[in-house]
Amino acid sequence: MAINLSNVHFSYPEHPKSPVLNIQSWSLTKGEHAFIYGPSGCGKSTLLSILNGLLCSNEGNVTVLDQRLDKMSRRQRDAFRAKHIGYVFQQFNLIPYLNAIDNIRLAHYFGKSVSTSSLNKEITALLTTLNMPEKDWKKPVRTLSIGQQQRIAITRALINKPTLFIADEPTSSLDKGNTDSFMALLMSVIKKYGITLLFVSHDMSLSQYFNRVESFTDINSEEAFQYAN
Amino acid sequence: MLINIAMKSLRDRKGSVALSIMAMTISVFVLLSVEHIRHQTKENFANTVSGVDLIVGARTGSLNLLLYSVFKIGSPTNNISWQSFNTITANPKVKWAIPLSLGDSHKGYRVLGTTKQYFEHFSYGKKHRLAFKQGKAFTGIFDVVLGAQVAKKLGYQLGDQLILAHGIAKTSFSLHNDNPFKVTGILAPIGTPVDHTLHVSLQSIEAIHHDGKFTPLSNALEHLQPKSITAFMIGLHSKITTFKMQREINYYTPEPLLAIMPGVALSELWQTMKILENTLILVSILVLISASLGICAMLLSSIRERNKEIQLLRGIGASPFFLFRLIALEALFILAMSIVLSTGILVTILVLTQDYLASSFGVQVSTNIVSLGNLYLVSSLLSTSVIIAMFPSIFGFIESKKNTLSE
Ligand SMILES: Nc1ncnc2c1ncn2[C@@H]1O[C@H](COP(=O)(O)OP(=O)(O)OP(=O)(O)O)[C@@H](O)[C@H]1O
Ligand SMILES: [Mg+2]
Repeated sequence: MAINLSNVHFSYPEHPKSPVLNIQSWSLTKGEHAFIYGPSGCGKSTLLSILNGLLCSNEGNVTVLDQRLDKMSRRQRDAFRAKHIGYVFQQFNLIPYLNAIDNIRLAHYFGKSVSTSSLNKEITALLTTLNMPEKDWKKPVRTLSIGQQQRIAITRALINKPTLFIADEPTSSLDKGNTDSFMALLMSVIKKYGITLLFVSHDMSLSQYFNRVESFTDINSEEAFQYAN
Repeated sequence: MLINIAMKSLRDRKGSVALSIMAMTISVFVLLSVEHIRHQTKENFANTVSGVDLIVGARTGSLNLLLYSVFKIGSPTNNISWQSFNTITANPKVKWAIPLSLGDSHKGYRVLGTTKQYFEHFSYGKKHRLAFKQGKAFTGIFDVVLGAQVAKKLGYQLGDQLILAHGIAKTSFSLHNDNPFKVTGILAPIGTPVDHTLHVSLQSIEAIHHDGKFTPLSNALEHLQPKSITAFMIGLHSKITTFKMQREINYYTPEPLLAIMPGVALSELWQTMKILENTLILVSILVLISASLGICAMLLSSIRERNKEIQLLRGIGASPFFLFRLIALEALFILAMSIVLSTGILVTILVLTQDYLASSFGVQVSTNIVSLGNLYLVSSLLSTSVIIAMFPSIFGFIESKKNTLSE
């Protein structure tokens, strides 16, 4: 089991009276490629933050990769996230003033998994797999296109050989063509490395890439969510 | 990795970082220079004269007398008669006396008319006597003994001829062209106004001011008795008689005179300077505080700007402590940079203005800024900077803990 949630409740400490999550039971099997869709502001990012240990549920059982996140200390969760979870965000994925290689090295530094001697080879191989032209590797990432940045983000997320890959609307700022090539690349590396994937978006058209598709509102029984904006 | 990110992130915000470094550099510079100059001036003034029991001049403020007679700062209000000098120094309590006649210059350096006693009795620092690097004291009217800096800066050697002028401006109108002087001696450097002085006999001063053409035939010291001098220094047989002697001179009837003890006048000088000193220190501390607040504000706003970056770092596994160290390192870098820069600027400025300070104010400022005071200052600056760095870092730490990944 990659993820197992039961009776998870969450509300932001700023708004304790408006709970965002209430998940009775939900799980993801290892090797699955799951797609969860839902409207903006329904709590998708919040759920993902709980799964990677940045946030801690108020109550309930959060098991990720057979480890109880709700029982871990913050420090343990930080280390766990760096080591086992590859994460791609909606927009801000890379430190803008660092180049591609430094960004990837940074993720590796926090994950402390692969031995440093093979690191350069690994980065080169990944960047090549993801169709990054070599001339762009040493440029500050802010000078690259969004599509390129998102591809570097995948590389960054893969460098520590994660078992679980979480993507939070990574294509929302890409155009149609870029979205297609991004999805194709992502799915090919995910399959190549045999990684479990949890992908979240409000764009239903992406569901074609996945073998499991679910609506967020089916998972989260918290009715009282407010729509953002 | 930490240092790498810190440096690249600072470079990314070059503009605001450079401004902060500048603001901080200026304030540290002000602090360091105030402390250095204060320390140096005290040391210098205290070292300039020693072993002299009384300084006597026309009645004026005691500080004024001290400044123009010893430090050659400012100009004397009045001269005193040669007659008074003779009467007072005839007193059996007096062991030796050095007459001083000021008011002339050579290429911006002061000319001092005196006697051979000067080279025998005048001492500086911890009672060191003046020493000749080359040559010997003057014997003839047209002999001159140069201070070390005068010889060095003007490139004079033993036996060179030079012309002395009346007045103290660098370009004097009334050059006494007719009477060239010959260098008979050059003093060893001692780091006091003596280095910047040309020494001639009292008779030479008279000769310079002699109206008509002067005949070298009568080149004998006895022919030109001075009528007046600027001031004189006295050494007594016994220190105990100093107060008595001072009173006697102050009540000397033929002419209003003032006798001062150099040590007492110096402490009076410190007293006067104390207010200025404290004001300067207060101002520089205020400048420092405002610069520190500026840096804090800069870093705090940068943390707000970099909120996404911080969340991202957290997202890829950075602990809040890592972010704390990152921000602290950036702040420390700015502060360390400022300290290094301001030290560099201070040393450069000192090297460049050393001569100017020495020749215009008679203050010999050492370029070696390592003093106990400055060491204290720098270490307290460093600890202040750690405290300054703390605020934004703690803020960053707290900020990075309340985390969400929502856009
Ligand atoms: N840091 C936060 N503090 C307080 N409330 C928050 C915070 N982040 C999100 N929320 C609230 O929680 C709810 C869910 O937000 P979340 O970001 O999880 O939605 P989402 O489904 O990811 O939306 P989107 O598709 O726009 O990314 C929203 O009502 C939002 O206002
Ligand atoms: Mg979201």
